[in-house]
Amino acid sequence: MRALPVSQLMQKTSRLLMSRLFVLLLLSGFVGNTASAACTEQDLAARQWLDKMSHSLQEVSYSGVFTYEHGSSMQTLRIRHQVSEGAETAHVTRLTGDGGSVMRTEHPLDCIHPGSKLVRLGLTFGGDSEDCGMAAHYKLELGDEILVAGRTAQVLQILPRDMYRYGYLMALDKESGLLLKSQTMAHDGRTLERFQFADVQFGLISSASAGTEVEVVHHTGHPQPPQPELAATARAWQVGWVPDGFAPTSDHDGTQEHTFTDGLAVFSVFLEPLQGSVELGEGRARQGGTSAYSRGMQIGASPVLVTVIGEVPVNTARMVADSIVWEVADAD
Amino acid sequence: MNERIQESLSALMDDEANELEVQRLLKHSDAIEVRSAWARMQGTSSVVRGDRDAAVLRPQFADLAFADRVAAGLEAESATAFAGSGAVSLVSRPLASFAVAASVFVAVLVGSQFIGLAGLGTDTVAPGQVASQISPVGPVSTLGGAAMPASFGTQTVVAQPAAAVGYDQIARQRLLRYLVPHTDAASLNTPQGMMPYARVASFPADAKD
Repeated sequence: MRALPVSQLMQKTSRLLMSRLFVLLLLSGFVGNTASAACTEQDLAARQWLDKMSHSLQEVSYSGVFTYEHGSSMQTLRIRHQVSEGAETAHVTRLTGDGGSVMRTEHPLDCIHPGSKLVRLGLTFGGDSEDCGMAAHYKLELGDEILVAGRTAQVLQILPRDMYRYGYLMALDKESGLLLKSQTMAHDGRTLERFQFADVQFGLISSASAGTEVEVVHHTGHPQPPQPELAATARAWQVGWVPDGFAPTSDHDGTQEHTFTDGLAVFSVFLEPLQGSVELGEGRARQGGTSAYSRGMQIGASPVLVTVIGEVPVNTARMVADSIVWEVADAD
Repeated sequence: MNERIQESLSALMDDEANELEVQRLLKHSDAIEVRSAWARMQGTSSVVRGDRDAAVLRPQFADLAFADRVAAGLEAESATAFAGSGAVSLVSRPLASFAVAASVFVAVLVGSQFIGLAGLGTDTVAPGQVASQISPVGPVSTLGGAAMPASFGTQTVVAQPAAAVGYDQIARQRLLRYLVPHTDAASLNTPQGMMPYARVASFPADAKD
């Protein structure tokens, strides 16, 4: 009889874990406790770039073509981002596949979402203003200048200080700060996905020059900004744990979706109450940098299916799912 | 049933059966005792991972002639594999094929039974209690901070082949269903802005406000 297959599995896992942990420690330079340490000059320089990037994302008018790659798949898309009269309008059109299109209209410039607040300088959000902001959770490093979409770009390397998030390699337009290239990296150094501009122009363009037949248009929703006091009363369930540095993106009151961000990554938690009972179990799926983790479980006496989707390692998703509780005792 | 067959079944449960073991199992797959041993093992494994409903569900596997389906699948797979391959492939291909065939068939059998099955016993856990009471396998901590995760993301500890594959399908389904609302939030809160919509394979059409 084959003895203890489970222990073999555990051995394998711990071996894998040890080797990866070692790599991670090397990467992070044993900086376990720098979260509260003062900002280094390099952190500050890098954060200034991130700040510039965050502003340009909302405030600069541009249009261009970018590619999205993961695995062996590549999509080509056109983006138009126009700013006028204190509001931004963005339009993304798929140039391959179904030619579908997404539009966000009239998004006010003074509407700054938690993700941007976490990235920008001089804005505090759920933390100490004296700390180093996201440098507490990521090691920031300025790299060389490279050419992306024909423009000079500053490379910014962003490595996670823990294993709850991914790393990024970004290239920002030297002049405007616009993100021209973004690459998501796993802990073992693999590239999970890459966004990259092939061509970009700055300034307003006339909306008439569409040039693409679009039949499917998705108008994106605009969640309300956080309203902590309201949220506490009627929330049926809550997420008990998120990695350090993650904050809710919006008011979760009465919704079946809770979303969190650390400024670079976002994950969303969905809860589906089930009828009858559920076979307990868990499963995972991945597409590019996006992990999905589903778990059939019982909270209290109620069977539910919890799904965590986001640009975080699947293990982070699992730990988040693990922490879900009913907020109100008799909720069912 | 001899010890070797028992050993091979055990390996199959663990997703580690090699070609010899697979062949051995297929040769004996008609034997009632082999089938009931398989069903029994499934049940035991489920109890180990705290699955109380398993005992109700598992016996159906034996009736559904699991081994026959695997054998048929393997044959089909092998035929394609052998068609254009040399001697090396003769050894290596069936291994992978079997793993695929086995997990697919088990998934088909189990998948439909996961959700919404009424009338099975439920345990009462105090409201507010953390769900990890019925936690997955692996050293997962809910304390955060210094917790040691079971993996770094792409590799996870898998509880048991059948359940894992069934839920993997559910996870894939949910990924497709929830990617749009997730991306709506992501596009407002990450430096990539609207670019993450590239991840959505097809956008749902909305009525314009």
